[in-house]
Amino acid sequence: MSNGGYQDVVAKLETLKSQFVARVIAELDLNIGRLRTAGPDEPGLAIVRDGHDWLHRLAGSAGTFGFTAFGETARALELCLQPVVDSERADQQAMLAQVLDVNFFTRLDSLKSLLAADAGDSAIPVLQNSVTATVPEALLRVDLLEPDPALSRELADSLSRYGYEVVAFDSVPAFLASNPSGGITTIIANIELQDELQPVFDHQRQLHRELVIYLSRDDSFDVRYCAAVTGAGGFFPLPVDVPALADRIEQLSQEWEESAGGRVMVVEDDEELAEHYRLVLDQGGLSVSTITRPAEVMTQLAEFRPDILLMDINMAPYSGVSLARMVRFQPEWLGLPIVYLSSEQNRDTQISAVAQGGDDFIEKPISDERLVSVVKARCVRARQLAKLASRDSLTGLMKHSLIKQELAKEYSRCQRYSQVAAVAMLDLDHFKSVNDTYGHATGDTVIRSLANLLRHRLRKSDIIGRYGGEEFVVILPDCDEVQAERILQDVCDQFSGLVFSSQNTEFEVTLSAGIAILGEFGSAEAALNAADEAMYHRKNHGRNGVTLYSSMRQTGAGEGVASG
Amino acid sequence: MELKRILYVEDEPDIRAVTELALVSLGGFEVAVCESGEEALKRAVSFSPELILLDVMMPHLDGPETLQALRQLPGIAEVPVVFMTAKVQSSEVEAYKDLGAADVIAKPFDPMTLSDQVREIWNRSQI
Repeated sequence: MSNGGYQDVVAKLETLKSQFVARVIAELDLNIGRLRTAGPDEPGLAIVRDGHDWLHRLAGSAGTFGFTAFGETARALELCLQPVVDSERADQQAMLAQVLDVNFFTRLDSLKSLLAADAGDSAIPVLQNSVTATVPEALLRVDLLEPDPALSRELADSLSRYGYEVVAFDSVPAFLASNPSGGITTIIANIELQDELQPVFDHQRQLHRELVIYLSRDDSFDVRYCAAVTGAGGFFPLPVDVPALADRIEQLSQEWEESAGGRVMVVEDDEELAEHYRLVLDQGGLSVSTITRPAEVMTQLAEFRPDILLMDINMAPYSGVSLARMVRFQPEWLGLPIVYLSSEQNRDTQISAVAQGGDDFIEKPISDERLVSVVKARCVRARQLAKLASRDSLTGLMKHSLIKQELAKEYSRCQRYSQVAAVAMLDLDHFKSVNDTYGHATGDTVIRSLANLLRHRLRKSDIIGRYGGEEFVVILPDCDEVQAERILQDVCDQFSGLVFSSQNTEFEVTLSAGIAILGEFGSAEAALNAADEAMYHRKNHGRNGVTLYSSMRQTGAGEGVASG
Repeated sequence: MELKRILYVEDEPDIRAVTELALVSLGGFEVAVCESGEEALKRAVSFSPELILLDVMMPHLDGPETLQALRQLPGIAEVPVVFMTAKVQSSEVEAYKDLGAADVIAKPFDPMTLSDQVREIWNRSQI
């Protein structure tokens, strides 16, 4: 097929995708509303049967249009209703109340936000970001509970500069009245509200103790210890060190993301057992792929890319131990944690199995809760390790080598699908003097602040890396010059508005950025060099701003070299 | 011989449109698109497909029922039938194969590779 034909198909797929979204949006409210009214009676059963069919259709169709997470959630919800639909008539009504619990409706409601979030994450490669092309991701929400109105205003103002959506409340009842059910939020609260706030966590599933940061005028050991006892995630004495607070919020939400979910692949030849594991782990919030035929293990690994591999040890005629060895033949899976799941109780056999390529052993039988907690813990650990290897330790952004790989990938994607993407090089202005004047610890705070700001101000699909000391690279897929310039100018403006303090002096830092469009260069490397050149051009022309490589060429380039 | 003519049956309009696009524009097949099992039964003989793609869950006549009815039609009994379904447990796949299906395509599918998948199934059925 000619390239024109291909593009034509892509355009048509776009149209179909938006039709699908329009239809689903219309159906969502209708069906969620109906399910909410379902009582433990015959009409209620009819509603649940319809709801089950509707979820089944969504599960089947959403992925085709690129709404993977949405489809998976619809599938999980479909399976929640399955027992009711399958069971004998006499039991059905009794099961209804059990199945339609708060958890079910929370997940059902989450379909709406998943539809929006997924729009940028399409299975159809060329459709990527079509809907969210220039709209930034939803801001990370912070709920601020502070009785002092002046302090509350000041904090809300400074935190919103970091890209957080701050909602302020003067009391716990006011906070609860706002019906805080829309997703995960970080709570910053005055420690005076601690006693009132703690009982809330027992009733509100979506609020979490570990996502609370307490503020206190009293910075004594006793007060800090009390905060730690409650399981809070942070403590800051007043007046607050805002960059450090923003940093803590960032860390908490990242830890939260890491601990949520996880991808597990299960190899188990007993089909019923495999299905049971799948259900249990899925209910536990993990993404699961099960295979019952060991011969499929390599293809499925490549496709699903799990965080960990859970494997039965005896799958006649196959042995889990040999399968693990075979998996390890492939260098890319050398680091994959492999955990055996087996009724083998002989310690020596267990040890020898682990020595031959596995990482750990879980003895069967195992309770469902324990299985979920063990697997989750392993996923978190695996993710942390993978991150350590590829992420910059100061900022959590991609390291030099990884961002260059990503750039090369994006470059070839643009070539293949005639897409537009921009690359930007960012560098802090006069950073050396920040380090010299205020010390390296303060310098690190400045660098982390820019990293956090970039994470919030850019879209989820954008790729951010720390390129060197105070240099950052940003890849903006599906973004032309005009959009890229606007986005980065916005980052510049936000960043220059941040106030840092050290040794009782306050100061601000600016940045310079250069932008190049990938498709205008013969290689990813050349585009990056052009962005770098444009960035230095900006350094020579007043810093604190953005320069496009293309417009720099038009006005003449290469006058002198600036430092920092 | 190469696969050309596909009879495709699906009640859901979004999926019908995306599949038609995938099969016609990307795969280059000649496709008779039907909205129901009943429509498929009416059109099957005159269209004389070389392969039939059947959605499993449809109102009135579902996929398996449509398959059995199609088998009664002259010249259609030997045409390979492929089910498309969001249920992909291996036990169910086997059950569909016992009904005489050549294969099962899992939903969701990737529209970019659907035609290749269909062609592959057809080639296998010709051996």
